[in-house]
Amino acid sequence: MSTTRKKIGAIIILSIWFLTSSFTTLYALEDQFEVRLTVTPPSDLIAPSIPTGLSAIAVSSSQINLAWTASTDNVAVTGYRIYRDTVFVTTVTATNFSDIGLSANTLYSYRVSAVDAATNESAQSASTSATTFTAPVSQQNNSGGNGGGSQINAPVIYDVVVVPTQNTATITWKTTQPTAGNLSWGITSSFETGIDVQVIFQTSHSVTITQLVAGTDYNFTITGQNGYGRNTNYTNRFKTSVITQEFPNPTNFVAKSTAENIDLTWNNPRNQDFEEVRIVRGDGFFPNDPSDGQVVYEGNGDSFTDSDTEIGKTYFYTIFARYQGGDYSSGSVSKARIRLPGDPVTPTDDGIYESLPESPSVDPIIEALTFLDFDFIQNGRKISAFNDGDKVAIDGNLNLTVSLDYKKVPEILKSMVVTLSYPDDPTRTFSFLLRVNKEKTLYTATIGALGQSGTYGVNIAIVDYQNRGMKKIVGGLVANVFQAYGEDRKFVAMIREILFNVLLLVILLMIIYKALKVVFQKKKDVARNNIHEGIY
Amino acid sequence: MKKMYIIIVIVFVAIVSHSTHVLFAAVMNSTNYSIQSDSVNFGGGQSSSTSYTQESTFGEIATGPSGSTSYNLTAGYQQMQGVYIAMTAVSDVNLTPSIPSIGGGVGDGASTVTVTTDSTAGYELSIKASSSPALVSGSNSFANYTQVGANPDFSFVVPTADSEFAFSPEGVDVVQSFKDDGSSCNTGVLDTVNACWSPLTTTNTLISKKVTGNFPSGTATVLKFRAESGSAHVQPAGAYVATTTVTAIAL
Repeated sequence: MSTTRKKIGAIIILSIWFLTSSFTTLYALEDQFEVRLTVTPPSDLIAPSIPTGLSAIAVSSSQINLAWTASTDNVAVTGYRIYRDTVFVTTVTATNFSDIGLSANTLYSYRVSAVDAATNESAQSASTSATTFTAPVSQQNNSGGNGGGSQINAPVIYDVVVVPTQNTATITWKTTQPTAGNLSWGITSSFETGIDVQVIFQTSHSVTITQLVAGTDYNFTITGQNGYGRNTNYTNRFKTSVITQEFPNPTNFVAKSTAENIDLTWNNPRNQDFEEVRIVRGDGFFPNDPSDGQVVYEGNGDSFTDSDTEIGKTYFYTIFARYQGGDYSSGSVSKARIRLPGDPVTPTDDGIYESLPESPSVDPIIEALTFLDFDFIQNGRKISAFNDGDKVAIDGNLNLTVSLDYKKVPEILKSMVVTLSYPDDPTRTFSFLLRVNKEKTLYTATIGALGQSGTYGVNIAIVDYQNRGMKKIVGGLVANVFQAYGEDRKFVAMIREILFNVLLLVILLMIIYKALKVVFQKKKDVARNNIHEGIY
Repeated sequence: MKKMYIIIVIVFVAIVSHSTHVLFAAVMNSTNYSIQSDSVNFGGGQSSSTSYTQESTFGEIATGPSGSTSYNLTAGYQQMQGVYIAMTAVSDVNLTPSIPSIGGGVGDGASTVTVTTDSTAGYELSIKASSSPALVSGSNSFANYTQVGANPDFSFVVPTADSEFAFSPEGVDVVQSFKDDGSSCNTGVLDTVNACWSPLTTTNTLISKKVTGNFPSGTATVLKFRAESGSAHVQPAGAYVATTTVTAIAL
């Protein structure tokens, strides 16, 4: 964009000379413009200072560690160039370098120079040298190297720190001598999951393990070997962080109309921090928030009759559980309509979807969502789907969290409703909302334990208000009230069930035995009486 | 008094569009319009708007120029002449590449101006700078180009310890001083590309001339500019600007 003020003027200059009764006219045009040139500031021509204090220490038969004092520069030092025996090796940014892959029992000399962003390079530092160890005769005997193997102490691992997250763990440790080695980890003591090989001899070590499972115990072992072939090891365990589950919603929230009222029933969460519920009513759709709509009930009961209603009008209810500290659950939803005279006795009521528009015009990102995009979490751990990804096996005794990554859907106005249909009666449903968590990382909801075995149908509806459309996703929850995972728990449950059945059988047999005994005793008595009467 | 009849001739209103500015013998003009003549032979008086003021004539006798800072008015009964001259707007020129403050470099740029006239005597095109030296940035500058002799230099040469700025016109109508024979300027009939450089001074330098009309096709003149900082010269960093004016005159 030109900032130049351009003046385009047209000038008529009329010169009139009343000479011999005639005149001359001059016509001219002018235009002004700019010619511009940028002269750039002088580039950096000053090289950094020469690195000082270069030290070279052999730590094995194949590695020499270098360290030096940092250089200074009028702008900034961007790196150090390493020269081994006058040949350039590499450029590093730190003030140390481990030169590996060297030959055993060999003298190497080093110099280091500093460079800046303008590629100005300092003069090379003073030379320093080191000789690699002689190759260990045997690394199995924990000795050897430079002729003093037996006199060299084995390295010791110390200051081991594990920082786990949900899916990663960073393990750092130090060794009393430069060591190389391995870090192995796994769920069992075989450390079967993975291994990280360290080839550089160093005293400070750090490894970040990824792709771990949240809320899971892991074993790990560190093995280190110094340049003399002497070994050390360390074994411990850690647990990855569990996934945070939001406060659970009330379950089995049902709105049912009578002739004049709407009866609301629900089950309160069994959570020690639970205080009360708030029921909010909306006219057009389910309230998304405890303050979104008309509050019709607050308390810790498990039923309420809404009598402030009109016949023929549909009411949308959302029930939120409030917890200590003022946090609310995401909300469970239900709707009802008092029938008009002449309405069918059994009105068509398909749950929450009846009033929602269904349109193919939902946002394409929403349209692409599948059941696998949702996470199902219990005990702080994600549960893997099976059956081609449309079913999840859960523990019917535990709270269940349903989550969707915040980044998986566009930031448009939308509602997400999850509806569960019961195994024994698929027409009976229970719905709840997914809401954004405080960290704005998830759309999530938690419900209390389902408490009933069987396969629950899952319908996830994402209402796209912007495009006036809705996306439906279908799946299933296979609930077991005894166990969801863990062979030991399954075994205990099986034994418990067998013992219970045996006990019932014993009791039954005893009852039968008693009954038969009574019957036989009576028959015996009758016979005895008959004999007695016959005698007499 | 004999009753006067109204003669109003408005030739073009808002005649200027985009980059072409057309000038007739206009009584008033601005960036948006021009009025070729104005005559009110009855009544009269001053009329005005936010952008112009005019004094209309009462009769056919009173004549003479009037004007403001943005136009000139030639008023008088049937006094107008119909010479046409137009000039395309000249785009600003950015010399590229940028020149480093230390180490030297050359920046080049060009723009084109087309002059059209129906004047049978043709036209003249001149160029000048608003300041001396022309290319400045605050108190810093590139020196105006130093010609070796009286004529433009065929080759642009700057001493390694200096920085200079010059221009070179190219086109079929360039005047003889900017024509060359392949090695020297002001001789021959050639118009060698990137040749014949001259300093851009604050006095008009004639660069193109035609002695016949060229309506309606017009004739283009390419204005080339060059700045150089010698390898041994330290040019202070900054944004340098040469405010330049071209003037076309219908002959």
